[in-house]
Amino acid sequence: MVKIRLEISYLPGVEDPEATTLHHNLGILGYYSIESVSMLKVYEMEFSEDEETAKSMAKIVAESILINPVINSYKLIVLGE
Amino acid sequence: MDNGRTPTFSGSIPIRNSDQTKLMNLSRDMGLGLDIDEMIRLRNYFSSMGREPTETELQAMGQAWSEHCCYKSSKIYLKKYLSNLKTPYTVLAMEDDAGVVNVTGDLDYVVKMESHNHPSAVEPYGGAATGVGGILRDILCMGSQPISVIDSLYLGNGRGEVPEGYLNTHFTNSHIVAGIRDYGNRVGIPTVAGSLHFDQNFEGIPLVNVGCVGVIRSKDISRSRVSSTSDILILAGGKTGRDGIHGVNFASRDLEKDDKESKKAVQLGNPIIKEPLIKAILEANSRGLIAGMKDLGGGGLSSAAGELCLAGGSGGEIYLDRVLLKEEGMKPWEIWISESQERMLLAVKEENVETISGIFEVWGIPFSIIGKAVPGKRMKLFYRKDLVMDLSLNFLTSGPIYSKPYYQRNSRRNFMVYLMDPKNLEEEIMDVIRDLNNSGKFPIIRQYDHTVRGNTVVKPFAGNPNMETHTDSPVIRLDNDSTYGVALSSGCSVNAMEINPYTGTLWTMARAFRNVLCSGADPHSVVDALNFGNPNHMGVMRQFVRSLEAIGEFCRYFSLPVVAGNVSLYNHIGKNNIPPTPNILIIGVIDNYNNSITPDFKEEGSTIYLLGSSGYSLAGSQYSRSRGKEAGFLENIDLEELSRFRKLILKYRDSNMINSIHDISTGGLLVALLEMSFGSQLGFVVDISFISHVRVLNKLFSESGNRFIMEVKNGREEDFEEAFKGVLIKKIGQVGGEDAVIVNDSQTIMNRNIRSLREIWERGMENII
Repeated sequence: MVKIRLEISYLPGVEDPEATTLHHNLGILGYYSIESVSMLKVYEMEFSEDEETAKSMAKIVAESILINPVINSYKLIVLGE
Repeated sequence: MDNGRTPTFSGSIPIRNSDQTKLMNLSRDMGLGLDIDEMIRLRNYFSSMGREPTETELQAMGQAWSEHCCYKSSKIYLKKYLSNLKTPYTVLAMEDDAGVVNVTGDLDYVVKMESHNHPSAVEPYGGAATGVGGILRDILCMGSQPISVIDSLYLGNGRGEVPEGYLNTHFTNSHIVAGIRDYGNRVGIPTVAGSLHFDQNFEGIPLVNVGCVGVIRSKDISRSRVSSTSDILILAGGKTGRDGIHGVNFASRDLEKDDKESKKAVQLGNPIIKEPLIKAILEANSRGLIAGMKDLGGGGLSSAAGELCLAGGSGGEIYLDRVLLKEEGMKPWEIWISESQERMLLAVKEENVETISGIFEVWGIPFSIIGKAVPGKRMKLFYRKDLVMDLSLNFLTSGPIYSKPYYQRNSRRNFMVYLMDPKNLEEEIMDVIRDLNNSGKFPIIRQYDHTVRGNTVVKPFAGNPNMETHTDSPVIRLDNDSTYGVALSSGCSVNAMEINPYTGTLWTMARAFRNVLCSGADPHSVVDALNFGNPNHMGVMRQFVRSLEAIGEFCRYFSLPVVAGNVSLYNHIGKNNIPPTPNILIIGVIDNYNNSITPDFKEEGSTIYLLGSSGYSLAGSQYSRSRGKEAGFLENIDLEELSRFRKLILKYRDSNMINSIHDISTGGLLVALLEMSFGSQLGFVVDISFISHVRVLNKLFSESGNRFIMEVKNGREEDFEEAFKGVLIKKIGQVGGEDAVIVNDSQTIMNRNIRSLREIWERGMENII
């Protein structure tokens, strides 16, 4: 069994309204030193395959179902067995 | 001849001595999207001025002359068929950012519809969300409070092939819906009306048409122009970034896979800034502080500032370094043409600048004074100490107008279609009920907030809680002080359009018209969002022209004004053009919203009548489309009959005779009857033997003609027949029981429990969203 973490983030230049609002409001609350806020979407998937197969499967799932390459980038991290 | 000052900006781009190849390379490399004739015109213009253009000037021209901004392929035909469609109650039609129509006294509504197809194909969530954001700003910039968002979606059904490099259908569909939901719900404006159509021809090329209605008092209308040559220009709302650069250029040409330009044009939209922006603008407007206003949509500051000044008979001076930016290092041309969302440009009298600044500060809206209107007709841009653009506004807005050729005759061969009788009619009926286009649309419409602001009188569904049915056209009350409301119906008969663009458009118009009547409102004005394929294709241009002709004819017949509209072309992938899809929004006015009618059956024992005539052809129906037989001869629409229905329904609406009305459209008589029944779980017994001599398939599933089903109150049948004797009516059955029973020629063709049928109907969309 292999556990893989998939982190989806926005590409640079894509403004995420939720993160922007959060950043703005943290400023209002007095946390001035926060320079930026960004939000990621994280999936953790367990595979009953070996690492290589699991990784390639996770890649297919990410690219064809979970992300839009126009706005998102993603990272696959193997968390171990 | 222009004698503008030669810019001191070092970024001049030599074009005066360029040949055609160099010009085209330049257009491509800079992403201008201009073709060779347009580039030659630019070259000649700057040759006559005796100087080279700057980068900003070329980019501004590319944007101003794009299809999206200057309607170069469609303008000539729009003028020919849709001009002079005004009525005495039309306040503003096709002049400013949105149409304004008077209801009564000083109460007006503001309306506009636009397509956001290309952005939604590339980034469904952001494309759809910014579609909603953009249309809200169009309404807002008239000074009006938005009261309802309308969305008509045309999506793939998962049965066609999505070309490589395009997003899969499920991803596209669910993200488009999520975009509309998130923006509309967060900004606090109800998403009330709209339509959904699924077809494999929209695979990879979804259409997202978003509309908005607002309410305003006549005295508060803000025009999209400066009021004098000394107005101060304020840019308020979101900051300006590199996002959305070249959005219009990319919307004005073919979608290509892995399109680099398209990636820069993507934005997600920010409803959280929009909500206070709406509040601040409305407050400033009600205090008379705004002299003119324009929203920044496709074309960005370039379009907005140019049009605002030109319409007010002035020129402008803008200091680009005063624009608030999201990121460092933006070039002047990027600031000028960026299409960043959530921005409004205001013309304000100098003495009001301080007060209006105070309002923006209270609401936490970023803003900056970016320039002023000046006498003359030139737009001058400064960046730091440099003059980066100095162009005549007349030249900037004198985009080319093409009279694109079109086929005079229909190239499509029509032939009669004969659909074989199914082996098992009852199974066939079940298939029709679960068909994607006939089934319940709850999985999508329940995601939208329909009731926020508390003015929704008739929701998109009606009936018993959690067991509702769809309504024909939702009704929104305009304000708290009067009983006036508006009924909204938007959509397109795509199946009919595929057969005949002229008659198909009449079907579309008549359907929206009937829907509005079904709510008890009087059709009042029309807005169109015209979606077509590649205009360089003569067949597509023929569809476009024929469709416009039909809109013109219909509106003239019923004296309806076309008050706003939008054209979206180049909706195609390679040779695959979308079906012609003129989305029509008809706004009806109801003098007392308490008397609105909903389609759910109300009373056990009441009588069911079928109203209206039809040839019962299956051409243009969802049934024949789902059986792969989309050809045939489309029946014409009897406008005279429709006009009689308009008079009768409105006359007898409040006579306590009509329990419910429903229009027969997608799915035919069968689906219409079931939908009325699903709302109340009251069954019916209907005999369709005598409605026509045609086969049972045609009786059940034909969508042609102007037909309604009416539930007449128990004991009022004689009065009803007397009142409606001027039109064709047939008594077909009674409401009652818990089963749907349909009899034809003494044979029971269906006898099923309503709840079990409803379950099938409700689950039709299960696999698509």
